[in-house]
Amino acid sequence: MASGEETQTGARRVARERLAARLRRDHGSVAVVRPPRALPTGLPDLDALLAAGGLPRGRLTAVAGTAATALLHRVLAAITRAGTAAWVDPLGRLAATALHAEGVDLPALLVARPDPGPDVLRAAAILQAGAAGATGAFDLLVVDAPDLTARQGERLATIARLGATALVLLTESHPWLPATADLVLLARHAAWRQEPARLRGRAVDVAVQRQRSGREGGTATLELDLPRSWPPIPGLERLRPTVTAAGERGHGAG
Amino acid sequence: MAPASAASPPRRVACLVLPRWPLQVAARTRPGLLARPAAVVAAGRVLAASAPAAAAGVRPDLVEAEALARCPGLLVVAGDAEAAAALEGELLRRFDAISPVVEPHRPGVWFLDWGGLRGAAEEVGLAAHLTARLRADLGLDARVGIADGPFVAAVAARAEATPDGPARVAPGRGAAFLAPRPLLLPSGTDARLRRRLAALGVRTFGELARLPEADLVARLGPAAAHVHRLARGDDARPLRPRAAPIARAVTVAFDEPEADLDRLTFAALRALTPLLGGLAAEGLAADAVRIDLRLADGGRVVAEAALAGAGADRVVADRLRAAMQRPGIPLLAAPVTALALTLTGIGRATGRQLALAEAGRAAGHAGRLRAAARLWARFGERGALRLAVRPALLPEAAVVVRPWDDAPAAGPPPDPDAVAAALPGLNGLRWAAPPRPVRVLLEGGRPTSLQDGGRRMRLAAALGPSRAVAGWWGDGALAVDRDYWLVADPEGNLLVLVDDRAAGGWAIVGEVA
Repeated sequence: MASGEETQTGARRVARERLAARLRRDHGSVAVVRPPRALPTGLPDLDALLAAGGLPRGRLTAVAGTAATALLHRVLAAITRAGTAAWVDPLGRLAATALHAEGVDLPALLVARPDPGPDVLRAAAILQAGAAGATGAFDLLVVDAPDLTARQGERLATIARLGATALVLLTESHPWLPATADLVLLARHAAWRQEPARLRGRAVDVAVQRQRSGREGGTATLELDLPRSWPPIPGLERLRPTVTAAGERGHGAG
Repeated sequence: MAPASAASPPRRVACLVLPRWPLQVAARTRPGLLARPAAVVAAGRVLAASAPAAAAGVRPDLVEAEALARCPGLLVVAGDAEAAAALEGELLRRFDAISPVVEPHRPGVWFLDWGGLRGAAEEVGLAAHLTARLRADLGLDARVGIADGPFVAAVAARAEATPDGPARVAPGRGAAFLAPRPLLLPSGTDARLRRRLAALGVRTFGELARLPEADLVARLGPAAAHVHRLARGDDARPLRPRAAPIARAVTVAFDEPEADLDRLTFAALRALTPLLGGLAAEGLAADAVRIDLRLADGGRVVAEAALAGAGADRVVADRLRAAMQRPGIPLLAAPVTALALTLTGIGRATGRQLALAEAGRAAGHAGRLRAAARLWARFGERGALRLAVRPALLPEAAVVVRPWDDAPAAGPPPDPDAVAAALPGLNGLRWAAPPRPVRVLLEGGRPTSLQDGGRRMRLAAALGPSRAVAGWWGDGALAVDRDYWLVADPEGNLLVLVDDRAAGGWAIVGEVA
């Protein structure tokens, strides 16, 4: 028995074949270029952990952990160099100055600030449905919702399938994430890198906690250099997070 | 935070039905049509019949002559596709304003994402409000069914809803709702499957649901699995957002009459881009655009700009400008109050393989505009914003927030070191909204620990102070006297503290996560 998803995939294939036939009829020989199924993050070490070679399009990725925001700022900078992104920011936490310092192309970013709660999902649905065209309106959609419930998470996973945009949930490390999201990444602050005269950057440990179509449990340490120089903070490089048995951290998640 | 739950969230879908749709369209211009024996006919067949006509045996799909034979006093009205399209456009505009996903299922039937509403009161309340508005504003008789999926919602709308009372099937109760009802399968169901189910004596959804699925599929084929799932209330088909209609004309009205050619060109280009994007998404292109300028003195000037081969916005802008500044067009003598753009020569974009990439980008742009328009409709201006930064002392003064529609500022971005000089951006910085007041212990003028609510935290490192002092000459109208500190807890987590002497106290205003 074919599942609903398989039926949908089959319908898409038929539609693609019809389009290709129409193009061949009208234009002669044509090459049909299929949109990539993954969105490279600009971080090769991270892409190497991901089955599709990047964030899966049309699927829900959850990113949690004490350095999740930093990781997404870096990914956003890479995406907006050539593409577009949207960020649902109900809590008003998005710092434009940080994005600018990180190299994010702000004109390529749409920010939606609905009220927290159900409106967050509505905004995500509108953005994802708007991207459902042939080429996709946005490459990346980030939803900053730390307190999403399991129910709302399920809805967001459904919304992700409405379009070709890679939908990323920036959240806390909820127990329901692995059952809901197609990909769950834990990004944990590991250490600050400092030289005598400047704060150079930070190390972030990324672990693939859940990957629906690929290997789980992979880890990588990403060195995120700061694009602009910062004065040193004496003693910062010696501070290390305490890792619990579950591999989680106590403070500043998300 | 709500407790985690493993149960999948029943999404909510509303099905809005306008019974006898062609007749309701016709009745808008012919009052009283629904109360007398009448039928709308197209291509010699009945599309819809009024209740008195139906009582006389007139049914949809009946040949016109037979309908007249059954009901000699029948008033035959020709179907008006144009009026139906106009009315549907008005309905979609209203539906878009209340639901993020709207699927036009077939004439007179729409599915709307009804999720996110709290309980029966909100779900039914919004539906009742919608049907009341449709009746009051447009004279339409609408029925709404609400359920977890489109199929059950459609059954509820047809079987239970009234013009005054939407029918609601509680979450997870789809199967129980369907069980006693006659087995009316979706219109696309294979006729042979219908016959075979009837031959098996399956009369209700409940009877079908009780049959073992594997046996049913083995006997009737894989199509039976789908109807079996529906009968069990398993109705997971996602709604299909509609493709935006291809617009071919647009009018831009100016609040103040406009005489500046650059601004006119910009306004024309901005209005034209989504039109071209919509065409490109369908593999179409326009040869030219007709520009109809309405002048403040009541005059009117028509110009035309060629579009063929103009891939980039810059080229299109040059052509628009050239068309509008032709000799003989007295723009400066009489400012423009409105400009209407109409695409002409629309056809297949043949022989322009390289233009496909441009078309893709334009289609993406059109999609973004569409999404922004829907976000504004639902959330107001904060629904779709564009952020920009500028040199300033204070972080809040360094950020410029505008509606997303505005064109991005031209020129290179400012130097990051000059943006928010008192607290430059740092990778992973996010604001605490609102700032959390804290008590801070100082040693030698430097923060060494803080109390955040009931939590006491020792600080292991601190960078600061970064002093922001400004009077009326500064970033804002108010005097500012603040110290910013970047502090770290013993695990290396960074927080942004501010000692706001003007406001009187310490607060956590951000964290680096």
